[in-house]
Amino acid sequence: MTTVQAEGLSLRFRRTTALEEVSFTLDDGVTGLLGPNGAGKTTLLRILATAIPADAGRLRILGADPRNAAGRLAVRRRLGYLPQNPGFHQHFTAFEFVDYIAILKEIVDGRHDEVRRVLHAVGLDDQRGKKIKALSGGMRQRVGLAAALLDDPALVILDEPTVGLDPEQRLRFRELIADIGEGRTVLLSTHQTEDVATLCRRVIVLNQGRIRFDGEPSELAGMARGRVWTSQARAEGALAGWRTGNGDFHNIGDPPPGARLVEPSIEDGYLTVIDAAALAGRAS
Amino acid sequence: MTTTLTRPSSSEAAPRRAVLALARMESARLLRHPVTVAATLLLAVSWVSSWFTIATTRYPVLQELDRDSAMGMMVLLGGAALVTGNLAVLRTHRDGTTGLSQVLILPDHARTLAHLLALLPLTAIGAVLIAARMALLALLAPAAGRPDPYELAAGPAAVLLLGALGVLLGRLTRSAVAAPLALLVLLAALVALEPITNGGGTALWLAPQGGAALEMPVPASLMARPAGPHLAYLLGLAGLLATAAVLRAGARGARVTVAGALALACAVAGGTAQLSSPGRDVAAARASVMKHPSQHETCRELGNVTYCAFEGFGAWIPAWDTVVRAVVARVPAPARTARLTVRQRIAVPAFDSASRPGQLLDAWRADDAAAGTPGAVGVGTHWGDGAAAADLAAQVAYRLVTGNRVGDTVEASQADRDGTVVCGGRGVLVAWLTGQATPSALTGLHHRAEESRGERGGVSFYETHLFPTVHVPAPELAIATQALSRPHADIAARVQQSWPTLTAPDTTAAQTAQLLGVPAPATDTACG
Repeated sequence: MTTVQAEGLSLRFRRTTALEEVSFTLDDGVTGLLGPNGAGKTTLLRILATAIPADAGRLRILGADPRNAAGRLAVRRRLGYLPQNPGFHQHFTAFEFVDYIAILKEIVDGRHDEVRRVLHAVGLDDQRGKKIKALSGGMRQRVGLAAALLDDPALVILDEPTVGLDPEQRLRFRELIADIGEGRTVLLSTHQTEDVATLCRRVIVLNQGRIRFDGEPSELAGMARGRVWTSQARAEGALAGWRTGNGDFHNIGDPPPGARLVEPSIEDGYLTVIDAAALAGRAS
Repeated sequence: MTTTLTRPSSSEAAPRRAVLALARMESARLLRHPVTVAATLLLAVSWVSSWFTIATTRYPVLQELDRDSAMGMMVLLGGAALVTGNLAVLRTHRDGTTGLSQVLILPDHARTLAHLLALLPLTAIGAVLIAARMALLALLAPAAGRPDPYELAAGPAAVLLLGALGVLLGRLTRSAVAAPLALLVLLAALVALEPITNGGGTALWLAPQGGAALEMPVPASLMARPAGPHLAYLLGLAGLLATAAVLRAGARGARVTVAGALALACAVAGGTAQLSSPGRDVAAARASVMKHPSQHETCRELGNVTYCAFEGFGAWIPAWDTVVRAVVARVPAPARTARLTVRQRIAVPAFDSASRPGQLLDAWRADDAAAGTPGAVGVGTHWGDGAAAADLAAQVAYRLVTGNRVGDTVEASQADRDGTVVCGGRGVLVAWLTGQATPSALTGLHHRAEESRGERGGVSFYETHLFPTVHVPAPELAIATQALSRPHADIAARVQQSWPTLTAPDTTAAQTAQLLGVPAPATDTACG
């Protein structure tokens, strides 16, 4: 079931090209959106969330065209969105904040029940009476996620929701996102390849405003097959290389003859599809 | 295959219900905002404390206090509505939730409408507070007159107006400084405008607080303040600001146009009507009440004293009687031959610019004569503080000591400057009888003496605030003050014994001091 159909989306901010000829589709399940800073991920998510329009291209979300007001409204009614820096009204309790968002989503019948439901879904039953300023970063993100889940949206857009969370919080968040992905479309923007590996059945890699990869996580890892090897010393020709815990160097690039090739990870595949200049920049 | 919307879209009524739900939420937050709570407490405390600190509050004139109450409400609750309403509109920007907020369904103009509706409960609380104050004053105190409902409603209307201004400012600028700055400008304008337009200027009606207060309270029927049109003006302005706010937030359509047009019509009609002068009937009634008070009063006899009060002021008669009796009680029985009449009077220059004090005294004499109460003692429309009690006691004492009517021994041309100067033993007696009447009158005697210190010394007493009617020179006042510090029974006995001598016109201050057993002043009075 296709939720999003994007064809040739482009957007420029003055002289900067944020997106160029971006085409993809989204179906049910969790799709990861990977890319370095400035790749255009947030811009793409904001277009999908109807916050800004694209300059060019064709976009249909849930069968509606967000270029017109009626289409935008139709999309927003079935959209859950957690921005990169959502911001919170610090003096609201968790319940009040989600309730406030529920009102702005025009949820009128059984609103309080719905607020309790989503707070329960993100595990904040016991914290709903606490002021947001008293909550930890992870709990605040869960409040934001609860707001995104109001009214059972068909499309959920999450922009780097695990940034700043400690490992335990990140693990909890992954569980939540995995649950959310059941029966609806979730687009998850992240820097964490581990998130993609554990949550996504599909991944899109964006760099410099263009889609560089669109496929399954295993296929992304496969992009680096034959280009990852280990060595006891730093390999001269490697585009990237780092010492691992066992003392060996993990190298990506064109392996020398006889190199000890290893099975690539998603991270290796991601680094491989990023252009050589960016890769060189990271390696240095 | 494309996933389409499987749920029916929200009902037609959903946006309206969402606006109401948001208004309820915003209203609850506005009411419990620290600024609102502090302003409400401050207003309540100022009203309660005035009961204990401002003596005249315990004898309230309700047609005066209604404006006063509305003013306090405008400054405090209106200021709170301005600031908190503005902060609520700016919340999304201040807390950085714009990214999420902009993709939610309820449009900006609907949210703005909710912010405006959220002001209504605070407005209603303002109305309840002001009504409660009036009711309590009417129940607890011998209140005079009646409040004007339109004047009372101006306070809550100003809360609505300033709240709407706060919402509009939030839509015009993201700066949180704008609202407090606007409040400061309004307060500064309020302070600056009051003296400019004092004394009947009409321009002040264009400001939220309305026209200036009169120089002294007058019967409710003479107020003739355009409170109704002013209320319409305030509500029209509030409507205009509200319309501008929703327009700025993107609202369009016939409803907005109609609302804006109605608000404009209301503001223009009310604004124009409030600037028109009171009609001829009102002007004639005002002049008549001022010059011929007996024709507009109801009289009541207590013992051998007749008290005549304007409509609504009858509740003060027992308080007047307490003072009058305390003066009469010190006069030997044979000297209490004259039947006393205490008549309430007003003197407001704005009511009849042709009335000079001397002309007013003549008019009052003629009025008393026509009413069959020659030599009536005057009392004003303020009561509760010591000065008013001292003024009444002094007028009564003067009448009993001299047998004269106020103004009898003074030329009309001097009346507005001097009043009747009472010298020698008579002067001492008038001051002493005044000070011994009640503790409040003693306080008032000192207060009036303090007022006169910077001028010609001694002490001047007033029937109304406009001009002095009785003046006791400094040497006589000094002897009276000495006598008041001595045991009351001793002095009272000496007064009883020496009454004929003390009230003789040629008894000097020094002789009086000797008779009362107090030190004579270093200099005798120069008046004759």
